[in-house]
Amino acid sequence: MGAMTLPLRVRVRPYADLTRYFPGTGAVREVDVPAGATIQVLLERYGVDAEPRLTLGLNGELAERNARLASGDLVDILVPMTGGA
Amino acid sequence: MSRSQGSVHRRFLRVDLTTGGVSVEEPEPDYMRLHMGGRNVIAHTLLTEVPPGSDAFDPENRLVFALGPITGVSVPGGSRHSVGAKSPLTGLFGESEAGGYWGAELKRAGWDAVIVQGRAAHPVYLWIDDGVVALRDARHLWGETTGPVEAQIRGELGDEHIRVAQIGPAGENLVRFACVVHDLNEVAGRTGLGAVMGSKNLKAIAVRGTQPVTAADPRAIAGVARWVAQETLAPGGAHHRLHTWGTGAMVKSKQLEGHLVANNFRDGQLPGGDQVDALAIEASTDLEMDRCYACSVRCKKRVKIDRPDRKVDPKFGGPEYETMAAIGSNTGVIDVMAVCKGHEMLNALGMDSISCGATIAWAMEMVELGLLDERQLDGETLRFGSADDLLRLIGRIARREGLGDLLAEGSLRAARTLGAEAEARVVHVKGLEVAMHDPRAMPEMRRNYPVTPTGGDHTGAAGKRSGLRNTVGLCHFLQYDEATTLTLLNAATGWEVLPEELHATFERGVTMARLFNLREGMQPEDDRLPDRLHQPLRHGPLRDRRLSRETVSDEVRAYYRDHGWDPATGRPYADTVEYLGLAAVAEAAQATPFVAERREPIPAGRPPYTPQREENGALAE
Repeated sequence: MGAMTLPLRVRVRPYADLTRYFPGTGAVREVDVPAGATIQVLLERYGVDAEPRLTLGLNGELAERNARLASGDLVDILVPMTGGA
Repeated sequence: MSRSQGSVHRRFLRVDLTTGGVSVEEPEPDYMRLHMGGRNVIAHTLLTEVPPGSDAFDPENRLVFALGPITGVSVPGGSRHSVGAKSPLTGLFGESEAGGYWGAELKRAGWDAVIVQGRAAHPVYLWIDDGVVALRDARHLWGETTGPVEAQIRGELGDEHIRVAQIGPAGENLVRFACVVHDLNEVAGRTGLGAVMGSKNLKAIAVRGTQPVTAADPRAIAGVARWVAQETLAPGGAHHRLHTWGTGAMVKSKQLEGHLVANNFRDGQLPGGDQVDALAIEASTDLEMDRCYACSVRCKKRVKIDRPDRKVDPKFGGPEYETMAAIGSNTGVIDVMAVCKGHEMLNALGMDSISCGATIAWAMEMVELGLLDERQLDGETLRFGSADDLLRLIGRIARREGLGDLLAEGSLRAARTLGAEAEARVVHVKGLEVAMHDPRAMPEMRRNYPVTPTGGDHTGAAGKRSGLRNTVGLCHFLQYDEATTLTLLNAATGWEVLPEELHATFERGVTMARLFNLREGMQPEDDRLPDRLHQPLRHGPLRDRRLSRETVSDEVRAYYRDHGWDPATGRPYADTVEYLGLAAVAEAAQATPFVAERREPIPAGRPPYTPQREENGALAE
């Protein structure tokens, strides 16, 4: 039997109404994803990939969906801005 | 007064401030169908009535308040009207929109537009009480900020339901980016229309209307209203985000992507710059959401702050995204309370937040470079990031004190007094300060800014969707597709407008605005972006990206072609002008020298412009 793969605990910061995808309260929430997961895996697991367009941050830097996550990472999840008043 | 069939009265109010005369004009029946309202009525009026080459502050300039057929109809988004004049900032077509209640009130008073000309001998205000109209002395209101003026007018006319459009001290002082303030928080902000109003000695237009606006098909209107209220406001719904936070909930996305407008468009990221957003306002102030006429979306912020040094009165609303960025990150200010205070000051004094913030940001860069001397600074300190400098200067600009007097001219005119180095750092199109979306990162802004008739405007006004929304009196934020827009227009008016006719209405508006601009001296070279926006950003993920001039000029030529204008000169082709029914207008406006002949005739039966699909409608953050 191989070694058990422990899930990763990462922090997510969903903005505005995107908080509805994640359990808990507060601006920053802790969630578990499988070891070796990418941001895309995280998005799929919580249903956020249903959003047509997203802007993603990883530890304060712009990130792609295929960025691999490490324990304690902070993932910002937003919708890109278009024009407005 | 006879009741109208549908939502169009076919009644314009003409006010001559020089003579004190007011009169009713009834346009020909086909005029309303041809031009509908908003931009088209403004452009037609400016073209046919403003003498070529006249100064924006000349009494012959016209100040037009134009509703659309949907303005005042009881449906979400049906609150909008446009204000227009020859702009004192650009010297070209000036136009800006507002929502709130004023436009609906004017429709309920029985009018489709108010056209103001001349100049009063002393300050006056216009009182429209349904069909009864009077000019009243406003000398006791001159010099007052907008809050006390609204209260005073309602008090002296004895009706708390009166809606007031007005200028603040900035408009009186001819600050070239003064705005027209409606309901204290709904501003026709751009292109300096408040200064035109000030030049006419017109302090305010107070309106009370008591006649319900009838729609030809109320059930169709109610169906759309029900859809918005019942199916779009919950989480995940089309208007949920606007309903909850207004604009500016996703500012952080710009910071991450590297195109947050910062430090006079030099930087795309600013430490703490994303702290000025709608979420921070929600967290740190007493925030309520407010609405415009008949709108269940309720996307307007009302911010209350009780802190003694940043006390903010909610009657002035609260900052939306453009203001957050213009007097926030673009001036390096990351203090959300200060931005809320600045917003209140701008609405009280009557100035456009975009142009004011951009002009101050430009001046901050001039101080860094040492291009403003001691005499010009007049003791002013001006540093990126200083909220105190920002707030002090907002007041000084409105009063034209010290350095504020120079900046009240707008950034381009101010820069031209300092020389080429200063002018090269002005972020403007046609003299209008560019709004807070960076075209280096946003293709829709790159395509729109250079060709919008008013200059550096972000609302997509060169495009079909926004152009039509403006003309019919419908808010840009409502996520109606073109078919729904058409349903609303026909249900409001009883007309049977088809998509092709609606498209032609849009083309008529942009072509008239084009002819006006060409007649007033605009050159095709003016359809461009400023130097700054062709330079790379200093920081962030986009620092290596360069926007080429060829990209922009190619897109400008494509825009000309799509609209039936000569790709080389940007002049509308004669067949376009003819097809749109504008030949007599061009003739009357002395604009025929600016009409081009097409070398190859277009095939019979085809419009001379390219029928376009509606652009992606999302203008909602």
